[in-house]
Amino acid sequence: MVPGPPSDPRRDGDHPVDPVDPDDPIGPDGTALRRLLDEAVADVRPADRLGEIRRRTAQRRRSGRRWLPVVVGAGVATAAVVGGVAGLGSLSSGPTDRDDAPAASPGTQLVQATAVYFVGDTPDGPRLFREFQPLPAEAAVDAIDQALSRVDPTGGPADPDYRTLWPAGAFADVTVGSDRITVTLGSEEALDRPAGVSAREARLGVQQVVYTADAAVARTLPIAFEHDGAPARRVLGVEVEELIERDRQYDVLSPVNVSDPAEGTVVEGDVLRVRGTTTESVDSVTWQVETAGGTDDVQQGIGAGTFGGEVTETPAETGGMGWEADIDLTHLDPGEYRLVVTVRGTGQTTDRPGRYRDTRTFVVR
Amino acid sequence: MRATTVTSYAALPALAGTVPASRVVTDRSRADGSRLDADEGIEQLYLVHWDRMVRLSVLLVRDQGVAEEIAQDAYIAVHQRWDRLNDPDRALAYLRQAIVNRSRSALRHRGVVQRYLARQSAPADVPGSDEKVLGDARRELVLDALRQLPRRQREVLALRYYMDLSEAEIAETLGISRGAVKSHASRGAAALRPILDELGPDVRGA
Repeated sequence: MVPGPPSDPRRDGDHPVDPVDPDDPIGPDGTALRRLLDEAVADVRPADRLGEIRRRTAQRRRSGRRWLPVVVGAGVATAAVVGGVAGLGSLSSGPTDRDDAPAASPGTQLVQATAVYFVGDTPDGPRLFREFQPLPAEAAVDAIDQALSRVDPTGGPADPDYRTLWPAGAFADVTVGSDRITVTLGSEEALDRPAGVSAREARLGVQQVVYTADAAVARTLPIAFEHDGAPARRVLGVEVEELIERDRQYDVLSPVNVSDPAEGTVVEGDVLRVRGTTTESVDSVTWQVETAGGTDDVQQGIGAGTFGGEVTETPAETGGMGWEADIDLTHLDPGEYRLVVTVRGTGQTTDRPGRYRDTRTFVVR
Repeated sequence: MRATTVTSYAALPALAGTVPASRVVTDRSRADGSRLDADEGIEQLYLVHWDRMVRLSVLLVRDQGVAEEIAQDAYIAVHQRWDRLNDPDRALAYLRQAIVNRSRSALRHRGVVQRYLARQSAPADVPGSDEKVLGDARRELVLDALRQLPRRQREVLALRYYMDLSEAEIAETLGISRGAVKSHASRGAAALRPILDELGPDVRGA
């Protein structure tokens, strides 16, 4: 029966009937407000989502799993895959739904791939990686606000290999001016260097915001941080100028970064289009598909017939350092796989030549 | 411009050997009161708090479907940071913070939700009980009023009067000062007073 008479006991078992804090009284209006808000949602019967939460958290654990190269049959080993290279410009939109038809329900809101930058590890130390997240289509200050809510750890990366350096509640407000984006910091904690983070890495944390905010509005504006009504001189423990420019030094971005697929993508068709960027003009980008090896038969998957490929093409023609390949999935059983994309860095943007990689997991249905 | 690439299966070295071995699984016994692992902790948080967290989000974003999405994402965010949260109270505080933060960004696309609701303004429930209809009307009234409040006031009211948090806890959740909590709470309560007066004794108590 709704609403119940005032004398009814509270419907929620875990709701304290009278949580009295003597220093913090809520008064008679408070009691009435409590009843009002309680009643307003008392009839909400949330769907049971524990199963879905479990499924998604189980997927997150995959970063610690052992992965094996996928072995394919001899018949497939002769197949060719068509790939190619595209300019950076066309890569940056990601899997975008630009359907302009009016939305009919919350289920069909316009969603677009939004670039959010996180920190990940490479053999040459931490770097920024870009991750596209499907977020409601927004513009201007709303787009920045939304993207920064993903840099906040309560949002966070989908890829378990990435991390954010910012504390929860760091970003209180955003404004966009003609010459700057101003981000108001809402937490003292955001001024100090996070525990266990090096000075060099903290610099990447600051650039997380610069790169993410700039991507949200597709402009290269400097960022001004404010705290308590004044310019913040120290952010994540880094001494900063009033205007923080995008750091274009060679060692900020990962030498290789996957744009598509998004982490955890479920692939329904027979072809997976993979694409991404590199920061060096490398000769080739190699990719390999691996499967989770949950058994002791570690050796089983290694040997002839590894499933992988190579993209070798001429970024010079397109002016960008993008890569793209279509991976034929017809011979893969349903299940979870990991895409590993590797470049052999030549030392243009790293202190040490070597293999740099980025990974994504995807699910074949 | 698209270049053709020939894929060479079998030509690649196997990379499996470079992949770190699987995570260390420690066996934590419950009997000695040691920590729950992330799965167990999330399940606990779910069993005890799921309904209230969704309802909290409904107070902030109004739409139940959106609220369930937000709450689900928030639980996953807590799972991800479980080892760093390190204590059930902090996990709960983080969960609340994630719900509020995510409800805030969901509000940025409210326009669409509102259009959807406007089209479906008739109560979806089967009529037949006056009390039910009255209840719906009152609920709409309250949720509408909340929706019209400035965001901070709405958040403070929901945390204060629905979640029963102290001013200090609210200040921490929202990253604002206690003084700001006080002023948002009193302004928000003042804005809702006409509704209190309208509903009168029903909500004010005997």
